[in-house]
Amino acid sequence: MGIITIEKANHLYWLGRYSERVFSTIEFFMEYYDMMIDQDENVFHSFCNRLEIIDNYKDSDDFCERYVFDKQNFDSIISNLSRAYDNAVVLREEISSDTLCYIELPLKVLETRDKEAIALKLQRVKDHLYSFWGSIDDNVDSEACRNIMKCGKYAERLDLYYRFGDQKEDIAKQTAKLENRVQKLQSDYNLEGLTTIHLSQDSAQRWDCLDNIDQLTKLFEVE
Amino acid sequence: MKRLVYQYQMDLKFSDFVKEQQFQLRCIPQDNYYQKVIDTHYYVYPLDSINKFTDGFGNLVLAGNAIMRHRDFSFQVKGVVEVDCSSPKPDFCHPLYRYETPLTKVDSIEHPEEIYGLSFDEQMMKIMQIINDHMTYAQGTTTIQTSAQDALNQGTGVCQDYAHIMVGLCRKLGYPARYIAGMLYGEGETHAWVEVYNKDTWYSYDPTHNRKVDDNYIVLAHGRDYTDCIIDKGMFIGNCKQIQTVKVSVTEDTGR
Amino acid sequence: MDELINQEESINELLARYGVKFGVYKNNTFHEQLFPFDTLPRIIPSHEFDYLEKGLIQRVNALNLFLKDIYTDYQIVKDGVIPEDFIFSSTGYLSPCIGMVPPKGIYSHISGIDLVQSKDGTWYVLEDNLRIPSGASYPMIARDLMRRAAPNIFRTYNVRDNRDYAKMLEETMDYVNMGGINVILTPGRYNSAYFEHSYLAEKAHATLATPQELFVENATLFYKNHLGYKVKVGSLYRRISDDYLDPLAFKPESLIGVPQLMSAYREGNVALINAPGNGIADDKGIYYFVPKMIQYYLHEEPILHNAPTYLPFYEEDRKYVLENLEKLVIKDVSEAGGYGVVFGSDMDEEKLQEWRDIISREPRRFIAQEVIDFIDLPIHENGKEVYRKADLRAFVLSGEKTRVWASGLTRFSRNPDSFVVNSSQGGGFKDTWVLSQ
Repeated sequence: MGIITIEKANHLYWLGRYSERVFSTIEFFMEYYDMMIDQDENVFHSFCNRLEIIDNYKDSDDFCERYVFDKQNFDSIISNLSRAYDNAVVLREEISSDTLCYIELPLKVLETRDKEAIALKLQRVKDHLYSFWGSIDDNVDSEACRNIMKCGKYAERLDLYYRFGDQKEDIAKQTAKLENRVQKLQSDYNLEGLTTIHLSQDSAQRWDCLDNIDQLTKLFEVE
Repeated sequence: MKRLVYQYQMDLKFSDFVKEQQFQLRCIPQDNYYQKVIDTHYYVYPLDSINKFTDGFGNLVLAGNAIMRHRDFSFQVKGVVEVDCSSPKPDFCHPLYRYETPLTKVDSIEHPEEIYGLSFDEQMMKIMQIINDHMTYAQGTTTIQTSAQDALNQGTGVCQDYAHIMVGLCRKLGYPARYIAGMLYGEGETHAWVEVYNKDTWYSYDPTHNRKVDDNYIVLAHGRDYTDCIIDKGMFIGNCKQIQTVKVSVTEDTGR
Repeated sequence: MDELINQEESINELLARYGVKFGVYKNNTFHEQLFPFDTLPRIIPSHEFDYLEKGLIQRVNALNLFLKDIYTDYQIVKDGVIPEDFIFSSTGYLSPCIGMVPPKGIYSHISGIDLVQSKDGTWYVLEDNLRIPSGASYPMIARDLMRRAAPNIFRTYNVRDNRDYAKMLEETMDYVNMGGINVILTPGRYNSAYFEHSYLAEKAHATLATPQELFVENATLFYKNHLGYKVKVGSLYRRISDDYLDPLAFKPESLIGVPQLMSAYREGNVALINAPGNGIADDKGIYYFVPKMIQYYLHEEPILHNAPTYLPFYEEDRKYVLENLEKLVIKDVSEAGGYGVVFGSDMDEEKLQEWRDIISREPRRFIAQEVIDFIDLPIHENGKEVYRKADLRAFVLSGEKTRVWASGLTRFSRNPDSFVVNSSQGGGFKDTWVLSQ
């Protein structure tokens, strides 16, 4: 049918962003989690700092508990996953019931509090998110839908990579991926205004790039 | 028989920009058993799309919208109508007109015993007299939501209230009755009166003026009560005040 | 059946995986709850279903003819079969629908007829739901999952396949489509039946839309994006009640409707599924007259029974009701969803007298019915088999032909003393197996 309403475009974009936020922050979390074991117990402060999230955690245990599982904590992994779910649940016919399961399932993993180690739980969340993207590629027929989601995904990833000061090569790689998606979006979705966004690998300047991402995000805003 | 020239003008001024205004206008006279439309012109501004449809009561409705930002909205209808009340013709009556609505329900007045012995026309005259005995015409004392009973309780109201009370009293007596929104000879605002069904014919009465309707009245819409005949209904997106002015003029066509 | 019970856990896990939920508001916040599922199916023998099918088709056909009649010539009133009062003083009779016949003359495209079976095996119709009956998605997905969890049992039993509901729905929407796409209109994510709206849209290949995504221009309904690209909508399966459908025609304070939708509908440019104004035909007062409608419009004898019903409006019935109140159930015609129902057997003498007075004062407001002792079905609860009251909502789809879905929603009461099986009042559901031989 080839029409994506602004409401749906907005949900697709943010589904991409939140599912990626969960995925990538788990990766970074695991790095810091490992450091907290026997190197630097307080390194979570720097984690919060980099993400610019409120750092009101008592200690590393409190951080591990509330940053991962606390639904009341706006910044927690489970909160971000719930936001991914809120966007996914209104996209059933775009992404299919089969894909929707892969957001439902990791949510259940984090909601169930048992003796399973945090690292294993988070690994299972990641497994489901890998399946989620695989299912997107397989079950979503509309290329435009896939592109909007992936714009969200790579925009989020780029933002996070900057925050965690990753290697220049990595950032360049992710920038290229985002650029590729934005170009595709222009050709098959005919989004006016997208032409004003230039994502250049040279502009390794963080703020330039984040500014571009903000512009991209604005395209999908609902009034 | 009279040939009347009418003009209906409505202007809306908003205190700030609005958008996506949707409107439905019931202000185009149609042919019926005593009026014949000779000529109609209408003009709406601003306007993005407009179409006509007929509502459940048979009223012609102009439905449309003005999507872009605007601060003023106006429409105008003008035309010529031939009116002849001298020989009412039989017409159809929907059973819905037998039943009370919250706006027309009257509990406080019982019909005097002698009314049952009168002829239909005398009954109507009697009802109008009862209404005028209870009511004093006063603007600004009621609103569009005021029910017949509320108006009766306070003893004041405008043509809408008079019409609601009469509709209620006629239904109570067993006659189907309906509310009429329309225009009256002269200059001013729109007017409201009633039609009452007897045997197979609608008869028109103007309780506000305590008289039978003559060739000086043009019908715009009819329904069970005011809410079925709202002349302009609308909604828009915007948070602001609006000022509405309505100008109606009806004069006799002195020939061309 | 043991296979099913053994697989109970996997089936419930699958249901959770697919988010088979309905929304509820608790303390003003929105929660999603699983709809409790019992793995033991209700089994309806083939010949019994064939009988129900014939009766349901007959009933829904008559109801559709009735709706067409009362919104046009109301011949059934003129002929004195139904008193005028029951139609024109009912809040279900909507003036914006007068004089207009919807595409192909169909008013109730999707009818949910609630049935119960008494202990002697007789089926009774309890209620006709012709507005927006919900619940079809639950047995659809339950069957799918049961086949995965317990394949062997479907080899043994000859169960009629019920996985055609989405196709039937799609065909129904296509049949009345006035040119354009099929859209399912949902009030949004926070509606209790949102799961069903989105699931049906996916399976019936329709577009799911919220009111903000639709607009009317030149009496035509469009689905739009923010750049002004738009596609015409030919068929709208709206899951929003009449009152909130179009603020310019119904409740003006409604924020969820599509302004001017009724003008597009009256101009014949879009089919609304189901038609607005159907509330008049599933009124509890009108229920009494359905068997008479069948005789009047179809010149046939009704195949399905109504529960024995009395209309206090008629003097003879009123007399019976007042004399036998203690064994009857009284229903307020204006209430729905299990509300406004009282049992004479629960009342003491003072209460009974109070109700006799109310009924004498407002006879038009109530119907009275004999209490049907309907069958209990086995439910598997905490490893035990217990018996609970259950009803059956049959889904009847009217398109080119009127068809009955070979399945239905069996709801059971989780409270052992309750006759009320509504999901809004905490019931659960079962799969319904119609045998093929």
